[in-house]
Amino acid sequence: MALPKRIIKETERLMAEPVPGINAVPHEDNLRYFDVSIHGPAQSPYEGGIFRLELFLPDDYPMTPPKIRFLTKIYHPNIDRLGRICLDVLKSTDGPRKDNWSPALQIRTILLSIQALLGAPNPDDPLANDVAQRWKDDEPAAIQTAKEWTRTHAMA
Amino acid sequence: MDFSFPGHGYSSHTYRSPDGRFSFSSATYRGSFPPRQGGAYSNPMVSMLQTLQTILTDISNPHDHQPPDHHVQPHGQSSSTSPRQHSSEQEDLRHDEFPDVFRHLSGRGGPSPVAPMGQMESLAEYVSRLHRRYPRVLSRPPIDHDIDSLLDSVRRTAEFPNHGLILSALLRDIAEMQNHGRFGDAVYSREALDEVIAQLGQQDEQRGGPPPASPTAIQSLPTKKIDVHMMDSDGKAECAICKDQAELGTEVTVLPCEHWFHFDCIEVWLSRHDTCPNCRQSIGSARSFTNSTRSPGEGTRDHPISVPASPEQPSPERRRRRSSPFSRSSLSSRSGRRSLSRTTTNSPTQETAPRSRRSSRSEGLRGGITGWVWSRFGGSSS
Repeated sequence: MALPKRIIKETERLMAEPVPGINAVPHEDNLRYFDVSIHGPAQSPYEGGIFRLELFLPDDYPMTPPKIRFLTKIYHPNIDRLGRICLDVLKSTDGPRKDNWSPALQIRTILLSIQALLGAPNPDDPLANDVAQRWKDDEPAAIQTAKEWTRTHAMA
Repeated sequence: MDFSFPGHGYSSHTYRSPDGRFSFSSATYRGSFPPRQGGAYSNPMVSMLQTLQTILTDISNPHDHQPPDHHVQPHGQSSSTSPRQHSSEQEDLRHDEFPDVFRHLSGRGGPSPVAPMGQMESLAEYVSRLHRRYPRVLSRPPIDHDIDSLLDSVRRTAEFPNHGLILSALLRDIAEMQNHGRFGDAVYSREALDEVIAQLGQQDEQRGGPPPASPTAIQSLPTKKIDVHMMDSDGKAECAICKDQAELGTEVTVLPCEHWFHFDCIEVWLSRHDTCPNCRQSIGSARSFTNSTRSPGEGTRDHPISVPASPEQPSPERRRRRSSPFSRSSLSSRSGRRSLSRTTTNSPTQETAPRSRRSSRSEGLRGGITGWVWSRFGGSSS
């Protein structure tokens, strides 16, 4: 199947005007599959870490959201141990939390949202329940763990 | 599809939801059976490994309806058949969807939930193939590795990146199984079953979302030619869906919220979800612009919302005027819930009506699925 023009445009723009702290490079043999790295935001427990993700644009993108997952281990209430991310814009739904993908969104905006999620963990909308619980019970300890995980897994 | 191994204490069942959107497989080992000769099936691990083998087979033979002979050598290589089989499989895998753990619970009506046993002689053979394929990675017993470094090295194996991905997803599953009493479609604890059900609920949410707009409503959306007022300060206008420039004079489709798109682009989206891609307003809900809570600055650079000439009131009246008698009848033939929302559009609560309608709908559905799953599994898991 030919690559839709929109994907080519997005890719070109990601290369030409990269987002600070975010790097997304398509695979040579599969232009729908991107290697992504996101720098942990300053003043967050993830500061200094570089987190690798994989991003895949399904056949019906942009009518369905990209599939994204963290490859680097990360201690975060909205990211589970498999690297799956709980983020409203990654779901094409209108559930209780107004989960909403829209075709006006794009790779760039999604990655920015994920970077923002690192800066603002939301334990009230958890994906990793044990992490979220710890975040609520003892936030300083949870943040300490997040920092340790960042040091261990996200700093080469 | 049901098949079991009578007397072996191992059974596998696949359930399909009444509407066909979900399939659910269970593998059960009954420990009360006496061990068979040689201890086959005497250990729950055996059935677990069988499930693993089934899934491996499933993953490596996406077209399992094809006879094994399908993989007859394309390059005339000799020696054992397994490497050849891999090279042809690899082509299939390359086009495969993101081979991650979501696959196991993809509610897509069940991608061949349980493949026939015995396509691959044994798990040991598969593992030995993997050894041949990834000699560096698997040269030492995995147990000595940190699972993540193993995953990373598999992933980095440049030779067959997709195969590595599948394998890494698989290894993650195994790690997950050790920690969580769950492997793929099979669960080994009540807690894990709860988790699966919660995930099913989430899947349902993901597949749901706002209901589609009616074809009639989509077809009767007004069109407009791009004029200078619709361009941004750089003199550009871009369709937010295809991200293509729209030249002056191009005919575009305008939604009640005044956001515009190419007709072909917005038709595909609206026939999935009745929301504006830019502001999420439904084209079915007749929210008046004069009372709109939308701030004037909400138009984006790419989508200036100024259409000063024609801020039409998209009232139900207007819709009716635009619709042919035929389309009116198809409108009224839509679900009762839907037409109810139309009748409420004139009430003071018009802005919240569609939202609450949707969430009650998705909750009802989720309850239905969960209820269905429990009715199947709750009873038998005691």
